[in-house]
Amino acid sequence: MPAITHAQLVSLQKDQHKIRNICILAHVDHGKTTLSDSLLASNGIISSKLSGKVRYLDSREDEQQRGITMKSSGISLYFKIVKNLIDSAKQESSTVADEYLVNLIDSPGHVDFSSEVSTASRLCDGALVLVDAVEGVCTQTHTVLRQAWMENVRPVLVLNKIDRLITELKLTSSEAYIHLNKILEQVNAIMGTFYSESMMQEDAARYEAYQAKRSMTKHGKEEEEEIEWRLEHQDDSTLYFSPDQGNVIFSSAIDGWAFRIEQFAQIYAAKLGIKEELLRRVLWGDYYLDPKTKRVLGHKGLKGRPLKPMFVQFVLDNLWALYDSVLETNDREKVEKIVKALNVKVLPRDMRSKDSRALLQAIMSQWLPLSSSVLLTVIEKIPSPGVAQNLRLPKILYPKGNQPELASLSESRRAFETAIYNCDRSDDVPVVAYVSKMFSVSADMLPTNRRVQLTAEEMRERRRAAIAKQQAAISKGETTSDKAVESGHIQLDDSGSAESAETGPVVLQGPTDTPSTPEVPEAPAEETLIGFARIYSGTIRVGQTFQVLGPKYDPAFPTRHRSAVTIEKLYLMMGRELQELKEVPAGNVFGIGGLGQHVLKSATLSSTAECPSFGGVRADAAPIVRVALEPREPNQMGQLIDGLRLLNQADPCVEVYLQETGEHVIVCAGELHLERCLKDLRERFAKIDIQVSPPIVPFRETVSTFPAIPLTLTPNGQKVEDSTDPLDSASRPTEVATSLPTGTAIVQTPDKLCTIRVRAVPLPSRVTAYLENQSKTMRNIVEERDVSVEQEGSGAAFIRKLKDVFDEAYRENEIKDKELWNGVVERLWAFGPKRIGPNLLVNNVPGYERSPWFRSAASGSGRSRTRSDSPTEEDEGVDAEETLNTSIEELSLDDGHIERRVPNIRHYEGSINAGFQLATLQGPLAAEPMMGVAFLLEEFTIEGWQEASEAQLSLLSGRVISMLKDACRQAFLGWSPRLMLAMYSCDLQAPAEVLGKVYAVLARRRGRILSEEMREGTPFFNIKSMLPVVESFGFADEIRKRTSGAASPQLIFSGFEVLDIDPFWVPTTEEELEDLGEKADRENLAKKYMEGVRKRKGLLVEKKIVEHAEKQRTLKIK
Amino acid sequence: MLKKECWNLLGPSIDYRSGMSSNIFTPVNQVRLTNVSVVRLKKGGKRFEVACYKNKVLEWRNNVETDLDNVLQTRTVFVNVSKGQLANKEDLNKAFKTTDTDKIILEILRKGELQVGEKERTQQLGNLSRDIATTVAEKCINPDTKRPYTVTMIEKAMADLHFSVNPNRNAKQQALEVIKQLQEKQTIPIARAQMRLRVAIPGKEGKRVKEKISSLIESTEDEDWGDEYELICLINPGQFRALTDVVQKETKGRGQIEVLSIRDTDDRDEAFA
Repeated sequence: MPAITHAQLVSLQKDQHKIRNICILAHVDHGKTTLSDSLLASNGIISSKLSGKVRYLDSREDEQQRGITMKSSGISLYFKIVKNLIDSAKQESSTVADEYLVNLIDSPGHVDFSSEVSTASRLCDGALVLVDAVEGVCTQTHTVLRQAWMENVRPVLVLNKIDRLITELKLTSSEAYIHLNKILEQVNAIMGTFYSESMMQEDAARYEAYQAKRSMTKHGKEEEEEIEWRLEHQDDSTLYFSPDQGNVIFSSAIDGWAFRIEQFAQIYAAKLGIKEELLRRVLWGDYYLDPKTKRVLGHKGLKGRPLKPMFVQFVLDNLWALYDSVLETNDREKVEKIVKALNVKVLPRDMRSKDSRALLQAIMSQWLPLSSSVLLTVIEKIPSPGVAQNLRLPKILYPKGNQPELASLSESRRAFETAIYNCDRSDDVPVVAYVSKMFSVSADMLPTNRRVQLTAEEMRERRRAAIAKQQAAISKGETTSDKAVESGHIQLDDSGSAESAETGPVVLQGPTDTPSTPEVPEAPAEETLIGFARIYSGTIRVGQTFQVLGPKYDPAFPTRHRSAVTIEKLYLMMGRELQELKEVPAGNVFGIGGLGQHVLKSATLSSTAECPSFGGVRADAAPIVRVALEPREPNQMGQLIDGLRLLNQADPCVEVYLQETGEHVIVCAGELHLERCLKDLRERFAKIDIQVSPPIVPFRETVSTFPAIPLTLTPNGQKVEDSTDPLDSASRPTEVATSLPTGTAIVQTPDKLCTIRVRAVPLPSRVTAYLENQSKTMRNIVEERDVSVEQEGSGAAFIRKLKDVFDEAYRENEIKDKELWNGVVERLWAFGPKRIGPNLLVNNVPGYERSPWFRSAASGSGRSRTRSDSPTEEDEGVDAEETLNTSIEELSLDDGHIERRVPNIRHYEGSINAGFQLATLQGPLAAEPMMGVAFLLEEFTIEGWQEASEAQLSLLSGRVISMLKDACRQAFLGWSPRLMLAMYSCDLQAPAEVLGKVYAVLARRRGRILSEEMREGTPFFNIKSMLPVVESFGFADEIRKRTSGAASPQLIFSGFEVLDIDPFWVPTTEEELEDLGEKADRENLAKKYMEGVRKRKGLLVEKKIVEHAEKQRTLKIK
Repeated sequence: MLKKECWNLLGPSIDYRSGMSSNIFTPVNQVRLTNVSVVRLKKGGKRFEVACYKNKVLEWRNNVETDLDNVLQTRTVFVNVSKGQLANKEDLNKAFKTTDTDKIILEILRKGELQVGEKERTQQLGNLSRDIATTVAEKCINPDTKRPYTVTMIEKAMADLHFSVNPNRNAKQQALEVIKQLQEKQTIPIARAQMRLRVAIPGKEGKRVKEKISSLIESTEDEDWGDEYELICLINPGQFRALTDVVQKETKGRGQIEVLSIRDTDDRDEAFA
């Protein structure tokens, strides 16, 4: 067949009835790309000899190397039906030819790339679902069928690799028939579950609506009989695949053949003298041909005779015979006979060829050409865009199923909806197109490559010229006036507009080009982002301007998530190549260039802002593999960030974050996807060497309600003291008197100037949880610059609620010591760390009072504070001063140090708070933030200050910070400390047969199962569990491997959980020693985590460098 | 009592080689101090030594190793370990005022000078350089993203600087040095994380104090002239002490400084868009 010209395809795009948009879906390695190869060969894009070998659509190098597809790619095919075959007998008009345009999208089958499948199926109206005849239904088959179902895409089943049944499994034709029948049943069973599931959902929804209605009316009149279960009433037969319906194709893509039973029905209708219609119905299934009467019998009519089903007799046997004679016995004569009988032409060169496979392919591809039977099915069974959009779009526009009547809509909206439902390509309807993904193409693939680069170059040149001129202008200005330097900016603009027209274009292009230049420097000159799109109505033309509506766009808020873009380029997708187009009419799949700055991953393009967004693509599998990335060379950070930005745009599934810790984290769907992302980053987007590491896992430190084990306290006390801070050594911990309650620490400066006593108390878990939840509220209160009355109110409300939580905790018996918590809320000083954390600093200093927290905490509220409370506070302050320090003050006057001010706690408020914040930010265990601890400041005294030198006093404010930090840490260690682990809540869906394996993996990673439920109407179980983040690295991969991909987890961060092991625990009692030995055979898990973090941070780790001193190498290494 | 490794420390040197074929392995008669590290203490004009295992003494001092037998080769006090000369009783008694060897050994272990073993040294240096990197990471931010750098990034940048860690200076000092060098060399964009402060000064003196402290302030976020002059500003942490001093002095202790955040960073996770 001659190659199809560009013009032919373009002309076909205009007739929507002649367009079919399909995608190929299947499990990995079931032959999708090979099948599309055969289709390409029919269009002369590749040689038919090479089809199935080149895998043309796998254009990436790693795709070719690994032999799996990693991205979806589109191609437009031309197909001509010559109807003479069918109608020749009646009408004699043999050249009634219909031309069709088939937009084909090949998709990857690997589970990691299921997002690509989603984006592909979004754009299509039909899908070829391939199933390997040997492997049968696999996990991804399941997934893609579901995807097709959800996106309302009409599926056609292709049973591929039939040849393997013959050559590998060596099945007889009857066995093969049974085998194929089984696969078909499996697929239909899956379709059945989708159907029943959706029906049950609908029923549930209806039942709920009914219940609601009934409770509304509250009439005793029961109308139970009205609820009918729809499941039993609806006919679901059209849903299933059946060869006699014509939606099942038998094929072998590698050998280039495929057929439907229609084809055989046509052939045998004449031979057997049975009507074609009838034959089509009986050629698949339990039907037999009575050899004597030439009548078709059912199973009952067999009466024990060993007849073969008709499918076997007339279809499979022929195939088997051909394969046998060509491949197995290599019987030349017989082959020639068959060739003659089939009326196919085989070149003598092929006949003589030693490669019998090639001969087979030559015969088969002429006898039952794959492309024609597949494309014919596509044209017959898959609706044209006009028909399909009518079915599919209501679901996309109204995902919740609440589609209003057309008549009830406003005029413009109605016009808009009818246009997209009918796929109207005329110019007077709004244009609507949907971009389902962005993909990047290296610039040399673009047809306009040269020109594009030239313009870019030109623009840069112009910019440079303009800048040079502007700078010249500035320097000129400098000489004339002094102010010119400061107002250089204004000068710049002036000169720009005042200069000749040459700079004019630069200014004009500003909005489209200049914003891109700072963030996308060198790399994108070689990588261009192209939107993979489908147009639903109207005709899109180069140069038109459209609204770009983000996935979150809502016509009710037309300003948000919207930008305008002028179409720069339109492309016809031809696999790895792109051909430029002037316009694209409704119903086509195409590529759009120049959206890079406007579209992140998906978007709706429309000529009217009234168009709702078509929503994001529903991704079935949320990305879960997390890694942190760093450039190998530290100065390449910028490239990495730019690369990540591009990657984020070009990959529909990847998520990129810049984390609080400064790490750049990418989240991928799986290990393979991750590998692809890294390869893309290294070679295309960032072009730098990248280092990958597990992301930093956060911990929290807290205390249990048990006092610390006294034995371990001494070494730890020593250990915990961080020697990094020189001030640390200045403060000297004093022995904790035994009479004091647990968790009390007294710290004194070496010159005995200042003494601080702090007591740590674990917070009730309820309170901690509340504080954790309310961090946003706290942040608002703390950071609000202008605290108005309402906000103070919110602060008060927050405090009131906090009090309630304390009361509740008391009622629930969480608090034993009511005395302790009495009035805590009133005496609240600060939260920490970062002033909003789940730890409290409580002022328990006798005789010292502060204003309520929410007043004093707000950073800018000083204003309102001074305005409203300053008199009272001053008074309080004076009171406190008086009670605390009157005698000292008098003394000072006597001493003659009149100038010297009286140091008291009020002056060190800031330092105390800072010390508390520091301590809670970096706990003593692993310098991780604390959580759920209240610190009660019980004593703060300054003694003998009058003897102290000025220098000592001025140092004191700094010292108080570190003293308080130490005091808090010591007090913290007075209790038995605990680490808190960050947890993921893990949602899993798995079929019953792999449940055991799922549990094994979860248990090994210290997961905890919360619940396990059967999902109604499906064979799946929903498992909810908690999994520590530390243990989650590689979890997704492991669980997929163990369950052969049947279970796909979803991980969502869900807060912190206490690991109830003391990291300092060692066996001490006799039994423990006996059980575990002195070194504790089992590793202390909490200790392991703690030391991991300490090691990472370069803190002291209590680990022996050499375990057995005498076993060190005693000889020198020569 | 003696362990196998140090038999040749003390024993008389016997030449086993005489009269034997040189192909046969024989214990050599030269002293090889391969697994021995010596801790020395000069006291009362005499030098005392104990023989220890390598890489163990620091652990003992850190309380990580608690088993003395895992530290000492032999519970004997020497005058010279390599020569195998034992210290005599009188000298010990004279220097330590006791003859209890165990006590003397403990003292020597605690106070004596020691050879730091190879592994100890690498560990020490490794820890110190990690500590420096962690400190740098804590104190600095990437001005582009307003977020800290990861420790590994800082370590790489330090390697780029060819920064050599000095085991005798503490981590904080060296971290400051690293920051300075990083800023000079511009390998990565780096800036000191700034402290956010609230300064409150009673009304009349506001203007005067403001002029005094304006040189110390990096940037002003908000200021308000009410009854009280109030300023929210960012400063370099190094200037904190100076700022407090100025404020205290100028206002005679009536001015207030509150640390709003020790590190002004963006503490949210941000998705790329």
